[in-house]
Amino acid sequence: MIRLKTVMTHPLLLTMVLGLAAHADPTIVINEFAAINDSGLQDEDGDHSDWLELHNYGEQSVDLSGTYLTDNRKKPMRWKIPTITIVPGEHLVIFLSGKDRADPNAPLHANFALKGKGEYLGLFARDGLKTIHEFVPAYPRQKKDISYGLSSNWQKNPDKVEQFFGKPTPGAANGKPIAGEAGNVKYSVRRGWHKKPFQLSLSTKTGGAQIRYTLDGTKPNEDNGNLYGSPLTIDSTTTVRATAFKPSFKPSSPTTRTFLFVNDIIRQSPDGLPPESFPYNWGENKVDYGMDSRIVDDPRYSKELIAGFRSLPSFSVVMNLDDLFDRKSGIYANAEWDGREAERPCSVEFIQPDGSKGFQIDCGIRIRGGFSRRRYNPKHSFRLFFRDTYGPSKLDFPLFGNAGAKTFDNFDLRTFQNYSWHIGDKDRAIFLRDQFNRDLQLAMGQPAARGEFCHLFINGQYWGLYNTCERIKASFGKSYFGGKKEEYDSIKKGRTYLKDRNRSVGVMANDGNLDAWERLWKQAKAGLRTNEAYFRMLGRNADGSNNPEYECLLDVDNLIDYMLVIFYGGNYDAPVSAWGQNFGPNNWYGIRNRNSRDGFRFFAWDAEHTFRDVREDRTGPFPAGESYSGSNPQWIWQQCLENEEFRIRAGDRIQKHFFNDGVLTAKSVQRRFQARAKAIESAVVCESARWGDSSQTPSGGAASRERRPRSRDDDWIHEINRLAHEYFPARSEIVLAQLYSHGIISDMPPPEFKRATDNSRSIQITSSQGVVYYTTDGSDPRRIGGAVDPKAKMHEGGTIKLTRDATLNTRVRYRNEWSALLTTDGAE
Amino acid sequence: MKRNLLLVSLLGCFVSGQLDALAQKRSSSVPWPLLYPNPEQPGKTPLADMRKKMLAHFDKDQDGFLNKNEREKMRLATKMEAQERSRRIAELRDSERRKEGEKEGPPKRWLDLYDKNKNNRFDGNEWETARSAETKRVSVRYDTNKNGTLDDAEKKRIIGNLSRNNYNPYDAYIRRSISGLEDGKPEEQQSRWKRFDSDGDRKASRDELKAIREKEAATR
Repeated sequence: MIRLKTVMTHPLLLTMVLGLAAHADPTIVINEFAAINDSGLQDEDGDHSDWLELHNYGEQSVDLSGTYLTDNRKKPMRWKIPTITIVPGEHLVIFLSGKDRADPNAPLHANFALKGKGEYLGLFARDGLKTIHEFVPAYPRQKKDISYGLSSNWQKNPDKVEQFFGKPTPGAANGKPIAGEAGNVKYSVRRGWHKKPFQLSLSTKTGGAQIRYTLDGTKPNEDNGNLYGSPLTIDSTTTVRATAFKPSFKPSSPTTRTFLFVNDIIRQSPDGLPPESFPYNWGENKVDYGMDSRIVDDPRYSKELIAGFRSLPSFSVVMNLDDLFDRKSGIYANAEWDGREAERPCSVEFIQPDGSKGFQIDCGIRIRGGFSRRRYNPKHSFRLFFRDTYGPSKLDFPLFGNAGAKTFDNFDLRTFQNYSWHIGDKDRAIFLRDQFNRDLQLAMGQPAARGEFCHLFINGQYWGLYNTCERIKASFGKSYFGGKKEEYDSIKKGRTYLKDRNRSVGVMANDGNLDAWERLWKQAKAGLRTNEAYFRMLGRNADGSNNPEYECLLDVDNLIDYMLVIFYGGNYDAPVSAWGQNFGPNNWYGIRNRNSRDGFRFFAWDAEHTFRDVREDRTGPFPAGESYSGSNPQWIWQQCLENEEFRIRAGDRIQKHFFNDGVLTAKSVQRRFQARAKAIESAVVCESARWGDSSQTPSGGAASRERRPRSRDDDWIHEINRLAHEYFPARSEIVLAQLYSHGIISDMPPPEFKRATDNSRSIQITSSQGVVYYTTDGSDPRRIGGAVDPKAKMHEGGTIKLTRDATLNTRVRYRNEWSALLTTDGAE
Repeated sequence: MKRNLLLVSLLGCFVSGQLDALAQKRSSSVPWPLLYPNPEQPGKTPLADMRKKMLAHFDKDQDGFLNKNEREKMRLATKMEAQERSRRIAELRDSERRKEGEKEGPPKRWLDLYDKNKNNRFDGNEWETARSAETKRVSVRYDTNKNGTLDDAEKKRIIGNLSRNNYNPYDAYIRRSISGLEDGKPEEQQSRWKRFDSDGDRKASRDELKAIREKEAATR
């Protein structure tokens, strides 16, 4: 950043800052622009598009035709200005909307929009080389509905050239600039959990500024909030939002801080009446407030309830409650609303239970879900969007640890619908089903939508146990697989109207388009029995070798592993729905980068209808997917099953995951499940206090008039134990039996390994019959087609010693049949 | 003791984005959801049991081992059995739909007004447009005192008409949604707080909450 003092004393630098070319040039400047135009100037479509204003400060008219606007100095000819003349003193507005309209007789729209966080902006001469005016290297971060540009006397006052303007004036001379921006309000006490009352001081670095604050979630402004005079006494759960104001200064961005006191949280609205300043009703939506004292005071839970709040991180949403609950405009009161119009501004804080670093960010919030949007559901899920309209355009925080993405455009705060205490099948409420399916997919080495459990507070009111969840969008693809967002197709079950075919289909592109998905479906529909057809879909020749001429449409190991998770869970609502008698798909996502050699990958999603009946068989085949409209990954799997090489590959993945302590073996699943259950067992007490009474159960039998809330020890633990001790011990082998009937599991047992215990990486291999073949370079001892690979060695007894980077792959061959592949790196 | 709304049992409709699902009657013989317990009675060794069963059927050379060809026959037999199950379900569904006759699918009035692409279904934004417009139309019709909202008496009239008239599923859905019947009884809490909302802002002030609690304590 060039300091103004340096600019003043260095004429060349001054010229550079002003971005004016050294020799005679059009007397045109980019006088003003707005990069975050949320509620100001509207274009002819009614949109609040970004805009800039060109000003002719000279005495001659200037012909702008053939000049260029750009936001990228390396691409100076980004958008060509049409034949248009700007007379002396004129201010010409051009929208930077991306709409690309160049009719000189209509409003002009460039083919790009501006970034709120700051970027280059320039006006280039016809040769595409000389700059006429530019903001270089970049204009600073912009603010909502505040414009930026040249001060009205920029030619006379070079030390105050670029300014912010509190009242944008598109098409007219710039008004009075803001003298600066008031410094953000600082708080003397950290956010989060507190035990004792304290005095909270608010301060700003801007001398002479006043601070206004609110306690009701609304943003303070000059007409709203309390004037801060002296430290506030904070002795109960409180949310504070504060802004600094000073005449001629832009108000500071509001800052928000939540202070949580567990002893008053557990006593919130015990009689179910609204907390103070909360509404009595939520439009037509069912209302449910408060913490049930029958749980809070139950000696079984009273201590653990308190510990439960600190057992998980918390999200604190602070916002204008009307945006949630007003019957005409609130998104919670009208939970079926969706899309950008149903998004509202809020502050979100992430509070770690141990006081370690969290975050606060202003963002957009919407209701999330499908079935759960119904009015009889009092506990809705949320989706958060990070946009420069509200604050930073991305959340930069390792929400899912070091292995997960560290930058987010959005994520979900989901809650548990079909098996929960507030709606759905209450006897089976464990809150783990969907997350555990995603855990299994991750554990198998596949990408998955990561998630963790947390508490949620809304304006300081406890709102229950929630589960974060990544969204399978282009941004997810970019984070985990690289490339650019615009290269990704993210496909899901939905509805798209295909204009060229005058019909709609039950599959949609969440990002990108449906073209590659349709090609995959068509190739599968044409039949995959031959190796030519099957491997073509994988971007390979019939012998399995890579063919760069062929696109790769499918990640076959990912598809197999995804389907194994579906089968293991007995998932009857994904990707084919038993609610529709298996004629239609549901709850699936697929993602692919069009510009890479990766094929479509699939993701467990909304996996709530899982782990019910231990006998449930979801292996099909099912009719869903016979038509393109119902296409889904299970149908692709079914078509792939026609090919022997696919069946062998599937058998290999089954061997990997269902045997030798693989992810889907009974012990492994139990271990993982019990770890998840343990992690939330205290937090479940908090959930039962908040939502356990949402639909009460008779206690002492159906005829009893005594009603009790659902609780951890009377309800949750029974289903946990059923799964841990009955379902999971039995499930693996039942699924293997189901898969056996599809011809995927060979009768030939694979070899057995015995590893040395002395860290020597020596392995003994035995087999009850047949010949053992092996490789140590990671290749398969079996060639496509069934012959022995020339690189494979026949094992003739003795031990095999592996080097540190070697992988042992083995199969048994007997009567021209091969066993499944067994792999090890020699480590214990 | 917390008070919550009483839940009225659902009328058995499950919206999965398709209105025909909403129109399904639970008295249907088509299973919903269609589940398949397999095996029916798993023993302690289900894989071994399945293998034994399949060997008995498909091990033609009786060597205790399914070779590639035998495995393929088994696979095809499993596939055909599943396809036969689906075929039977499809027949059952078609048969029930034929019996439903004109009740299936959207009524003509709705299609004429809202099916813009004329494909006899509501897709894209059509369903939301239809739902909003019909909700508004019916609300205006029943708002006899013209105050812009449906009060309890007006909702009661809708509910009464629902039980007397044989509405098609689409018109019935709109009326159930408006009256709150679809999602449970109209809020019990409305009558509880209405007279205490002294400033009419529908939000609980400290004084209002105090008044409610004092009143409820007195009546206990």
